[in-house]
Amino acid sequence: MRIRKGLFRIFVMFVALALIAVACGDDSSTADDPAPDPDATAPEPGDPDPEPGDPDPEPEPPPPPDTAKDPAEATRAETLIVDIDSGLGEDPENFNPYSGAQRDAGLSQVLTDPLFLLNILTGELEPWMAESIESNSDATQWTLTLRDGVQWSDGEAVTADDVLFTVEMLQTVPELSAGTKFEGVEATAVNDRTVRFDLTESNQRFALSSFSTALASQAFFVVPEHIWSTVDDIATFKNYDPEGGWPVFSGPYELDSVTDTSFTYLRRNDWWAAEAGLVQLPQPLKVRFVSFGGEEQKLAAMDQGDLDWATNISPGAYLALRQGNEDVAAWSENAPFGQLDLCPRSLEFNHNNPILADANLRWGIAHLINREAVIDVGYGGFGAPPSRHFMAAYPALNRYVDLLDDAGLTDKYPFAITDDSMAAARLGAAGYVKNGDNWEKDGQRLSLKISNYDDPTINNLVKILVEQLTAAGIDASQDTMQIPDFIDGLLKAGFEAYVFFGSCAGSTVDPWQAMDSFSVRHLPDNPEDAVGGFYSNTFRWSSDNAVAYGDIVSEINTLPVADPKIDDLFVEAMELWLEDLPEIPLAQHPIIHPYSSRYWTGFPNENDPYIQAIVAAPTFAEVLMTIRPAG
Amino acid sequence: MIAGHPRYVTKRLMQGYIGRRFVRMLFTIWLGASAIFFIPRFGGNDPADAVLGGLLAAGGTTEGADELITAYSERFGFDDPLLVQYGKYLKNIVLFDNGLSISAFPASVDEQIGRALPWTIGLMSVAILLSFLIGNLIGALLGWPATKPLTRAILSMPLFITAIPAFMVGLILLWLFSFRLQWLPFSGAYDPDVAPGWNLSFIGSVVKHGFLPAVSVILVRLGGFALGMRGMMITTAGQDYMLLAEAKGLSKRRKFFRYGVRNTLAPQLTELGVAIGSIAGGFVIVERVFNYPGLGSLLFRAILTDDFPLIQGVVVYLIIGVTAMAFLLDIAYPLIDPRISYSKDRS
Repeated sequence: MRIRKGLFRIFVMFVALALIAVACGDDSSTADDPAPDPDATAPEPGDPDPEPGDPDPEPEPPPPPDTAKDPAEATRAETLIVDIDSGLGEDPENFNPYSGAQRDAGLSQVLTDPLFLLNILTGELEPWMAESIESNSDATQWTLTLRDGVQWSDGEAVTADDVLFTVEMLQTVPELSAGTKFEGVEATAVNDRTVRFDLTESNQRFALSSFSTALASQAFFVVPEHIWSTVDDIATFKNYDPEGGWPVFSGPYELDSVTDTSFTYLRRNDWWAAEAGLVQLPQPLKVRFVSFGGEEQKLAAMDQGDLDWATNISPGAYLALRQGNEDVAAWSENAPFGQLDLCPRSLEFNHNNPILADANLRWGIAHLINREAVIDVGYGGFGAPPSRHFMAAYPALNRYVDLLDDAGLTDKYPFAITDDSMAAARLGAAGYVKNGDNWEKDGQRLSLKISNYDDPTINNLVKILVEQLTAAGIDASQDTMQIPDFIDGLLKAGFEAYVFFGSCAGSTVDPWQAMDSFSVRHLPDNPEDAVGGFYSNTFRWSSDNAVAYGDIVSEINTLPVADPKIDDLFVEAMELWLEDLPEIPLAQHPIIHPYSSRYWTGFPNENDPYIQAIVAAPTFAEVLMTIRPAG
Repeated sequence: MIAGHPRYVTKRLMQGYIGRRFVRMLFTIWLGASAIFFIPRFGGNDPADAVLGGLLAAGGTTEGADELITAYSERFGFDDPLLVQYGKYLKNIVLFDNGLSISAFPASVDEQIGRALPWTIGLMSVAILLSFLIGNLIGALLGWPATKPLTRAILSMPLFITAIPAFMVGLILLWLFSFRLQWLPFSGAYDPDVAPGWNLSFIGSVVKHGFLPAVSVILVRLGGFALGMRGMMITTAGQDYMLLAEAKGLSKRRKFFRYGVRNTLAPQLTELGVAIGSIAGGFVIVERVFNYPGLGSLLFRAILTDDFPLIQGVVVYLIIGVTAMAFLLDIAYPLIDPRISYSKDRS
């Protein structure tokens, strides 16, 4: 009996401890900030549903921001909570944007100002910290002018010396990682606000490729010379000293605190852009970037009002969330729900491999693939658009692809058609014969190992590709690997075939960058050596057609963006490309970043596409300027 | 002290015993540390590629990736001959300096471990101690002849959970208490609104965040302790001294705790020691499920990113933890159980 009483006592103590623990925890996130009435933002009964593509009625101008309140005292309703795309970071106390910092945890979005913002929907390089950038007639000299009155968070002026220091730092410290290292560029500070870039070769796309913000990892962050020039080893500099007010940048927010899973930033009421009258201060007093963990946690957080903007949610999970929560929405009302990524998925080949260097073989494989079925499985039936080309299907780029239709090249080179007889003809031309169910050459069965890095969608795409090719008589297999192993194979031509996005080089309005990812100029002298980047002809396409194609791409680079002469050159280059088919375009990739209008409204969507809905990129700044409190 | 005196002999024996065990511990550490150095390198990949991993995951790029990899290889000494790397590695272990992490460059490995270790130790030590106490209590009662069948049946129930992997238990708890009932947080180690420090709201937040991960571990761990204890208790219950206790008319409680549990506890301490030694490794998947920033999450990330120095650092500390605990148990065992001697040959 005593034992049982003892046991009961232990049990009661255990339960009591648990209850105390639950009660003790700070619950400020929900207790002192009742959520606004969800009905306040719900459409009135009888209101017609807006059709996708219909512009929203002109939004009310946001109320003037409250500068009297201390941002540190912000309530939940005054705080914007954003998901960290890359998850739990490596070192939350590193704010060196070129050496290990977690850029998508606020550094790119709220702490720094870009020189320009690239709107991928309009193709405009919108001035931000810079006022303009202009070139001379042959694009060998570019002149960048900073805005007047730009200031660092410590009150120092942002000058041409800061830009110059940053450029030279990237040129001289090899450990730094950046979208551009300004190779073949000599920068000079002409005066406090003007920097001149002298190029050894003409480059019409210098501004676009150096200062684009389309990819977060490509963004160019100016650093304060008065601090960074005093550092001994910039590669190991973490730029973090909360006592000393570091990190010092020029963005609308400053760092408040970091934990292993969150970064909190407070609005700077003295932000230079607001003081100069260029823009109003953003409405959120506080912005917090949080790593919630897996998809389930993100969904639960959004459902419970603890997350305003999530990243990379699968279509099924998004639908489940939306069904139970009318505050949740994404870019489009209907499938594929997300905005199309810059990086379409393709089946890519290693042309160093003599078997796979045969264009007939690649064409044969293309005709064996049923892309609709591949996409259906890969994207869970939510209608990712099949690729017509290796470029992202953005309006300005689609215009170029339409030129191929007009020139009859789409009919002449129908890589998207699944047809056994066309496949047989191409494989036959490559020397393969059908022996029973199998394709063979010289008694050897045709085999193809398709590699990919571990990613749920890509895993599925490869799985169904392997099934289809195996059913068609090819000994196909899948090799799923971790990212570092994949990078090793990618840069050093270590695969037979792989599903990747090797042409995702930043093209949004101008096809040159994507086209250049197939240029032979990237190839090393020794074919076994590594190439210089993910989008540097990792395919090792080097045939005669590739050389001729590369020459045309170089010629395009001497023409300004949107020059009409590009049209003919594009068609000419693409005929060479299509004849060889160095890769097989598969699918456009939608990225779903759901947002909740429980606390904040005005997120970009297809009805109000003022900027791309990409959480991780510096264009987030434009979203910050636009969103306003719900209710 | 005079040679031949019993205390002198015991001291000499003990010194020999400890010395042998100490050398064995060092040998085990060297063997484990060497294995963790060579095994990742058999993969044939360039470890410096890890620095580009994050960029690829973000769909990004960097200009001059080949130069960057070369620069990292030089900085980390990956271009040195393997034996030179190995020598430097052993030297750094002796100096307790694990160098820089690749994926978290420029953070040092020790800095990364230092940040994650308190969370894991705090969570796992509480979880393991509680699972030890509860598991042994359940096991002792199950093996105790006087326990009623109904009590026995009720106490057996938690043991079924032992067969379920800890991460699965974690997911179930997460779904029930965080997603459905919304009683407990589902991620992180504490609320970002709470300032870390020795104050009630921070401690409460830590306990609240650690509760579900800890319960996942407890539920899975206690079965092992309980089953071990049950077997020992059944054996003990038939011993003569139990009959003597019965004959003396001692209370049930005294017989249970002083004669039963006490005499069966020694082997269980070995298991506890090994469990405590392995705390440093955390419960990788449990930490992952709850997005808990402990050593398990760190090790998981290190493996995913091929961060050799970080993998080595975490695993070496784990090896040291386990072997040190085994060493301490070796020393303590003869003191706990007189049937075990320090000498090789009792005769």
